[in-house]
Amino acid sequence: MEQRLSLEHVSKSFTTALIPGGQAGQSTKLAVDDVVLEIRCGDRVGIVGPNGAGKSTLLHMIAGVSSPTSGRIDVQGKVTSILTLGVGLRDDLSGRENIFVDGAVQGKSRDDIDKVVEEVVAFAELGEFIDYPVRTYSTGMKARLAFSMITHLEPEILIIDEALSVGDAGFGAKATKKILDICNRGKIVIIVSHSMGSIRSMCNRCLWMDSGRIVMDGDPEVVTAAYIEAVRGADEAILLQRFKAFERTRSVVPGSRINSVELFNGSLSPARVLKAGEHSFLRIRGEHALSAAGGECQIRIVRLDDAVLLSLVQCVDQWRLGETNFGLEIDLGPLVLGMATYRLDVSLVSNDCVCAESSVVFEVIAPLAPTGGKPMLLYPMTLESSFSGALEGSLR
Amino acid sequence: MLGIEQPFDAAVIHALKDISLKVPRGKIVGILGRNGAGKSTLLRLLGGVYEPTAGRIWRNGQVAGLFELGGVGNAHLTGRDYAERYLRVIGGVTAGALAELLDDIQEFSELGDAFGQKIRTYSSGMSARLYFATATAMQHEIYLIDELLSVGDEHFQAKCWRRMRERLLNGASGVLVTHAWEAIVRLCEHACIIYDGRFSFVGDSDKAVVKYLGLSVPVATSARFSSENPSAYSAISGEDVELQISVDVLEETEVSLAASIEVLRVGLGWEIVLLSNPMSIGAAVGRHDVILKIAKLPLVPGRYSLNLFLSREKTREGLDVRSWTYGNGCELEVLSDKDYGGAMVRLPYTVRPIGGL
Repeated sequence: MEQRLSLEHVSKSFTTALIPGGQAGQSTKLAVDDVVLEIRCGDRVGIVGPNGAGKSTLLHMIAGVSSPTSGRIDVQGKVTSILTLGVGLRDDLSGRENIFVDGAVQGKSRDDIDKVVEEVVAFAELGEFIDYPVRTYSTGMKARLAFSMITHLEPEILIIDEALSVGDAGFGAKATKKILDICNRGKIVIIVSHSMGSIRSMCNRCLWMDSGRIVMDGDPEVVTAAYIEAVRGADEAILLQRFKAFERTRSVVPGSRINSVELFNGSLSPARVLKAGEHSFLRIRGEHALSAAGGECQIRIVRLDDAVLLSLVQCVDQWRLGETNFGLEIDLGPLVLGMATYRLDVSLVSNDCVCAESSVVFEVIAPLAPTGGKPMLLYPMTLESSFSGALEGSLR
Repeated sequence: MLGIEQPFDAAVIHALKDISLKVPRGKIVGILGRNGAGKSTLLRLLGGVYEPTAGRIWRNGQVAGLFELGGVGNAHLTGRDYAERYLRVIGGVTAGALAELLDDIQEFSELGDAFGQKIRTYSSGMSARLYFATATAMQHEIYLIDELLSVGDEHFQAKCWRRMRERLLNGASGVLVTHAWEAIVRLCEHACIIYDGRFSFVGDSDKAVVKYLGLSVPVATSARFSSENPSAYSAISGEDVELQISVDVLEETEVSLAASIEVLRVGLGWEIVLLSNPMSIGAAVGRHDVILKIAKLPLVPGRYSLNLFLSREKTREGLDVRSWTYGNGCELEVLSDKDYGGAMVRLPYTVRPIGGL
């Protein structure tokens, strides 16, 4: 019979006691929320999603480790799962002995195990360690043994939770190939992983889970790209919010203040979105009491990721307009800043003490940026090429 | 024959053999290696979990080990109790400073109310978040990191990177043990490959990664960079720079050259500072002497990687490459005695007075 797996309106909720041992305060968390899912023979399903999305809970229910609070799970086929690699290993037995014990637990005869044991040993690449107790293994070695054991048992429905991140690059490639092998024989594989790379290379279907629900179901390339984009977008929004929280003007010492910070880009009206390549300048006007000896104006351009692109200090006295007023213009020429969000920080400092400060956030757009990367600066490089003759015969 | 029979044949495994490693202040050294190569043993030796059979280890600073993350407690503790125990036992935090650190851990780990619940109710991702938040809540002087940044979802990993970076910028040192080469490239200037208990390579992290992955540079057949090109250039910040590059065209085809200058930002990885579009250099078979010109070099003093790419003009097909991603990039050293106030680049500007209020 063909392997098949179907979930009908499956939900799982957990009750947690807020007060240890007490009945009084209990809260219920819906870890998996009304999931409808049909997995057919040949499906290699990758599941992505943030921590706490319900991925592992879903796998546990499919594996039969826990049962749904409501709904129905129909599994046609024998489920083999690697939910936590190495958990089934007996520490005091050698790797080889573990292969026999596990085989017996899985219901294989001694003869059957004898047939595959050398293959498992070779696949695990543990060298002399295969005959040492498992307690002497590193985590990665345990993972390799556990993975080798399970995939050699000819699983019908294989469930893997995060297991593949444990192996090294070489073993990971072998594991991937093995999983593809299993699938080519028409079996089902379900993988939960935070490695988008392994999901893209191994799966032919991808589910994106969030808050217990399936948000997206489709081609791994499309789903992983959408997921990463959503995560980045959310992170960037938080970052930008924090970045913008700095946008303020304040005066700490009476008599010192920044009246205006303006950015210009190719025209005479102030702008907050600047075009790369256009002639750009900053204008800063303020007051700094004469009594404040050695007044300085510090100017910094900081990128969203905290990289400082410009940091300069100007002596205010140089740019006095009257008794207390000053004004200065910083000409940046054709703007060479790369595409990003920046903050311009201006502060008036006397004797290492901030008297007044002001920050504005601005964005740089670059319609003519070079292809193949996002450089920090859009700065011209030119070539001069001269032909100096034919190559010597030996060079051909 | 006389003799004493050994009670049983005890096997001895030499997990590490004659290893020498120096980690300077403010740097993270990467250790790459396959499972079982001795990576974790090395880290535990450095952390003082084991004593070396032979040799000596000097630690100049307080060590925080980000390995065996659950080492301090058990699953019946709540997240808060675990964090408190860690801070008291390992961090030596006094009661007065505890509350603020615990708040920080709760916030960073994004555990919310679950912080007050037992660890055994946590998913693996939740406990990983708790352990990371706890171990990095305080600024330590030395971090020993074992595969740490491979846990958690994309969002949390990004947060972990930012925090590690902050800790490093504050002058911490560390050793990062991993088989994830991306982490080595992002965090370390230097790296070692450990193979069968010995260092098989010690050097620049990009070269270590290329060696570890066994990457080979594709053989150039239509055009290539001359082997006579220097592997390192130097230039002076703010001055006009001319870099001489020889290209051998082997079969008649329009060849373009593109260049990038990249810098390693600790904790963030390689960042492109300058990048050009492909520029035509000619089609005739033979030697072409190319001068790459950058007026008033906008780079601050430091070490950069100069990467060069040859491609076929029409199809954009790559023909030859010099790049850190292949471990054969050129080094560009920028010199200057000027101070740029901590800025990453030398942005051109002029200042003048203005009128009005």
